Amino acid sequence: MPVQKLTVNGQRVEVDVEDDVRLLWVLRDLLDITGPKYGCGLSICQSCTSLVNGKAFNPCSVPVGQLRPSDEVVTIEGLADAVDGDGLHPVQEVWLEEDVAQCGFCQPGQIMAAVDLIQTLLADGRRDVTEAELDSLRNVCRCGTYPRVRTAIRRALAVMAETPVFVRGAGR
Amino acid sequence: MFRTGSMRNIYSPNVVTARELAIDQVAAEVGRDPLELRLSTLRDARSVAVLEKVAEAGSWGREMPAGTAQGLGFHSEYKGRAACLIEIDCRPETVSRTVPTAAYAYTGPRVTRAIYAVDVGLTINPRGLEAQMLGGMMDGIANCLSFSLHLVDGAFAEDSWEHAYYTRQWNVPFETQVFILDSSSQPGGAGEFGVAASMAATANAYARATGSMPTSFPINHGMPLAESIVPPGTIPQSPTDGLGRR
Ligand code: FES
Ligand code: FES
Repeated sequence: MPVQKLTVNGQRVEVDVEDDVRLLWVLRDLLDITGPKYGCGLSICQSCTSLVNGKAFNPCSVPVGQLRPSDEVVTIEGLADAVDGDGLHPVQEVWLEEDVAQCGFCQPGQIMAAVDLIQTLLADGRRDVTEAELDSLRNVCRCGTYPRVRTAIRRALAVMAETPVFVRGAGR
Repeated sequence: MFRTGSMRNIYSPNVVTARELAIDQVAAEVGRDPLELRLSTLRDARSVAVLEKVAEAGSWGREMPAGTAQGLGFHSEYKGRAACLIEIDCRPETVSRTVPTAAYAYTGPRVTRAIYAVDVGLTINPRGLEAQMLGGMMDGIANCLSFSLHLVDGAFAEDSWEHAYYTRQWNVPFETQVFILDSSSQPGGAGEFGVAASMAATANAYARATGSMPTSFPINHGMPLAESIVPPGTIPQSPTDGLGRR
């Protein structure tokens, strides 16, 4: 079986697995990184959302062979350490302050999607987010945490506009 | 044969919505204000308090543009009382809006503001209670407007969340508020207590905005469905374009 060389949460890893196995199963079943959740496997629910080179993506829909060894994959487990400074990522801090999570299943994906949206806005020099931009987030939350997700993104954007924080690998 | 499951708040949203629509009809018939009629017929102070709270916080009766309106819903269950005030936008430009990231064929009316007041008796964790009411409102809005399955030729047309239109960010009200009323009553339940009054209030708001009372739910049910990505009866392979999707 081919050996896949990956960079996950800042660590170089090697896994024996076929090229066409989707990254989500490599993360969850072979590397025991279970923060990215399996909801649909179809790029629909967004619960697996993670970052590759600082951009949000769906590991359920990426054959592992598509990744280069230098691509920086960051899952919710590695988010805090993928930015400068101690402690959690600012989005995680705000998420806790706003008490966003209910059952929690969708929340790793919600947070990673929020990080991506906020980084994109900041890179464009924006300090605000429109209702339409919030509407465009596709992450399903069956608990209905959506209103607090909106509030938390607005607050995290305000915090990060003061002190911009970009995830390692962003801009590549 | 197909498997069935339970919906949050089971039968209450449907029953309460039918009743609350009927009360608005009676009010219209006898020329009385829907809030005033409810307040004059409810018999206990806790019921009056939740309704008065949403009416005050939501400025019941305020002027709104044609095609938009407010609606009220009241519900009593789990030893508690709940009321909801919804503002809805049913104008053509809203109803036909598209979401660039979504496969929705039809988005439909948008709830723009949702205000909830609840008395569950003694409250231990107010933030948790507020979260349950917010989640319940998302369910109530979906039950009224968008969330259903279509049985077509013996199979469900919906293959995934993309096509079963539970509330997504593009259906979420721009403003939500939850008021927890002080209460010395016995603690009751709260996990499902946000659904029924918000479904009813959404239905009444829709009726007032469009001038026609909805009689089957969800209101979007007859509208075109998004094209299915999964051929019926198959288990699809995961896509391979995830690097470019979000
Ligand atoms: S599991 Fe990846 S989008 Fe649903
Ligand atoms: S918090 Fe439960 S699904 Fe989102």
